[in-house]
Amino acid sequence: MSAPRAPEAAPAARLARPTRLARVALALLLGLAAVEWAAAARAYRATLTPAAWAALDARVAALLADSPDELLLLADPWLGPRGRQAIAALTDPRALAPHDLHGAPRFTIITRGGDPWARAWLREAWGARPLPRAAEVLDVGPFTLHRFEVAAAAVTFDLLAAVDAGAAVQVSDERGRCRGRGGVYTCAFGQVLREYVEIAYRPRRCLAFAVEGGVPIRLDLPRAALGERLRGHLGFTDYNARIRGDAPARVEIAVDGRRRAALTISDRQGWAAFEVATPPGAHDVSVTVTPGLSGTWGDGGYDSRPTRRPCLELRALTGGAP
Amino acid sequence: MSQAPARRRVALVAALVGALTTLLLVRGHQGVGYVRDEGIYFVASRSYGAWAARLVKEPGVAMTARERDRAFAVNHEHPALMKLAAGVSARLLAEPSATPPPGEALREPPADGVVHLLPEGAAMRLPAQVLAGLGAALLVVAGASLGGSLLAGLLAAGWFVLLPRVWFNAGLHCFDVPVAVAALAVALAYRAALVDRRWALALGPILGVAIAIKHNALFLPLLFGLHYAVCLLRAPGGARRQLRLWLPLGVVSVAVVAPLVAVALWPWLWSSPLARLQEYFAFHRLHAYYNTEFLGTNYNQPPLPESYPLVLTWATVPSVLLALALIGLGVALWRDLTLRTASASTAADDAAAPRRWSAPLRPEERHDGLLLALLAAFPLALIAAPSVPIFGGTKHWLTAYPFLALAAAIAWGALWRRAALPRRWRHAPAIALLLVLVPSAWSTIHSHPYGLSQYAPLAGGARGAAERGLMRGFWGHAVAPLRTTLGELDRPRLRLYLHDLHQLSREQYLREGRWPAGVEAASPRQADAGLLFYERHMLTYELELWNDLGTAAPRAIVELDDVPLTSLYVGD
Repeated sequence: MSAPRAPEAAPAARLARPTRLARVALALLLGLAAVEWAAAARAYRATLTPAAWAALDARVAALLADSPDELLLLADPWLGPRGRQAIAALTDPRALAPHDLHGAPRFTIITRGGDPWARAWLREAWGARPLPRAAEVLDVGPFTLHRFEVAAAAVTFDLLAAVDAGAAVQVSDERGRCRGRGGVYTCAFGQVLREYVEIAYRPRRCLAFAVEGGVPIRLDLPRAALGERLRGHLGFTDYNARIRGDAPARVEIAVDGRRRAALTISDRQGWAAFEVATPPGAHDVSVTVTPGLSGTWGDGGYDSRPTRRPCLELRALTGGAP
Repeated sequence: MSQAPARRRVALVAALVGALTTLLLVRGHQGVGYVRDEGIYFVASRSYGAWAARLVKEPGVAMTARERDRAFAVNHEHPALMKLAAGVSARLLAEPSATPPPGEALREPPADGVVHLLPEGAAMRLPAQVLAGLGAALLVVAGASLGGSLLAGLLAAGWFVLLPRVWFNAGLHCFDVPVAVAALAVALAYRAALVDRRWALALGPILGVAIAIKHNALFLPLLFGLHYAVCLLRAPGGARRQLRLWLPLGVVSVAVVAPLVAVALWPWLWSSPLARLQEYFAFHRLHAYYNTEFLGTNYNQPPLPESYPLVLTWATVPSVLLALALIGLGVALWRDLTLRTASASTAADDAAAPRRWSAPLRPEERHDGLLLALLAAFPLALIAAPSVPIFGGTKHWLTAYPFLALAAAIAWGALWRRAALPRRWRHAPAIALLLVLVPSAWSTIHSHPYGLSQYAPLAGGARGAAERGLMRGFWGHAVAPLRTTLGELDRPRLRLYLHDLHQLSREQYLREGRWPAGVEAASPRQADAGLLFYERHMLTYELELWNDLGTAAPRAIVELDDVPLTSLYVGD
């Protein structure tokens, strides 16, 4: 290899411009390097010390002691593991896998500063309503607690809470009633399971229908305390199956034996929300979920095992409507 | 700044930089966990190494098709050279395997090298680390030559090896940095072959070695062909009309010798070569899609956004280094464009000294700018192409980086030469060199041994990347502190869900006495504890652990600057 030729001899006037240009370029480069030093000093260090997490835990515990039903959310999902390790309240099922922010009378969002609504998942959870202003903002070390209150909002019935409490939730298929309670129901054509699943890259806690394709599963909720509307979500588990766009599921909702809604939801819709207007008070509700094809298509053809499961949550809400 | 450095001094510094690079990799990477792919490469290397040992003792038996195929069938989707070298290295340098704890057994014969110098995995990583050192040394030499100063050479070497992603990959028993170094060596040989018939003869064998490392090298002849055509078309004196110059010695060497060398270094191809080559090409053409997170979206089927490799390059390479590389490419291309004017006299030279078939160009006709631009841009363009399977991860375009480093060296030389600073500023380039290399070195040192999760300062490091929805890591290697935690759980038997930690990597830890006693691999449903390596699409497995272990609070977490990389969940 040979070295580049030395600059040609030229009059000073002709050299002046490239020299100035080179000096400016070098200065800019070194300036950029200096900026990167500063950025490195800022980026390459931990900012959330164990003491900071402990202080946050103590503050959250005090807050929840006064308001035990308050929903607690960590704005940055990537901080979740550390948050759950440090703050017991973040392992509550509602904090782990919030369905959305509808019906929540009070909730607190933990951020590392900044606007909590900058996170897309929180805006999505709040829905199309005008974004609320925090009733209170508390700084706790590097963290900020944003407390919100939604007047008159309430959840009058929660399917998952009813299942957790072992309340009267009857699950049946075409062959009759499924056996079990407390979150695991064994039917002739498969199982219905209350579990955490991944849908649209978020944790969801819902009733998953691990049943054969085309088999309708009916949930009967006798004397459910309804509000102004039933709101729920349905989505499909298993991201690998989901990318192929397999068959949808059908959801039918009836109140006191009268059909109120029939929906077809596909795996492309993610955590698909639906709402049905209801008469307030105690009513018999039935929900029928029919997976189209529970298996999936692969290189070897159709695999009928129910690997992609529709998963349902349902609540009765009052107040806080759009 | 404009004086060409003394060759001997440059060679000495290059040797020192190369040796230092290799030594630091050998020492530092003993703390880097075994990545997912290494597990099967370790198994293959033991098999290939055993064949090499047999070749020495019983060459007649080892050379039979049956023995060859038995040895080289494992992991035959990649060429054998690096695994063969690793196997031989382990046979020479590996410490004896540890006695497995009760209830465990080694599935393969224990290691026991001639000299007990390194743990078996470290011994198998050594050939790649030596190649990384060679790459650093080559960059010092080539950078000094192109940039016109030793500092330019040091910049080129530092540009490459000090990047966290390069450093991390350079120490692994994998092929990405080795093939990047091989591509650099082939490119330098090609550049020399244009003007020197000895290098034209050497070009084929060197390319053959590169192909025997990884398939990326197969693209090089196409780029060289394009570059050579432009050089010939722009050469003065009617060179383009001389038909013999369109098929010079270097091309013959590449076309004939390179394939022979590549096949010679891959005994798997010695039987049914055409069928096995077809299988090899089909495997890579129809490669399984990886999942990769980019700006908050998980991609698992093509196309990836075309901006993906560009944004990831910006996010993982300090901007000052990228700026230098871009300036260098600009300077070099400008020199190419102004070449015709500068070399007008060579038309007369052609009459006096006719061009030779074996060395068809004159040094100034080599269009270094175009060559560097092609070699730097192609790997990124390939990944950006919508029809290319999703590979994800910066390691797939590391082959571009040596050429960006050389472009930076050109910029360095050109700028300081043009700046023509007064003598009292004579130490400024050395100080400036430190200034531009520190962000990269800082990034690498700080993130070690998790360099795969590190991001550039202006991207905000690992925390900034997590906020922007960029991938936090992959390959299941960030586990070392958790092995200690597992050992401290004080349970006589613990069934552990390994998640992305490959079972073969666990067995390698076991062989080296680095796996806690009583900890067995298990499915999530049967496990008492579980590992979770964070990637966007891996959430499914974390939720399985929540469901099956009954806890959502990790017992221990591996973090980089607040960002969880790996969690250990333990059931009650």
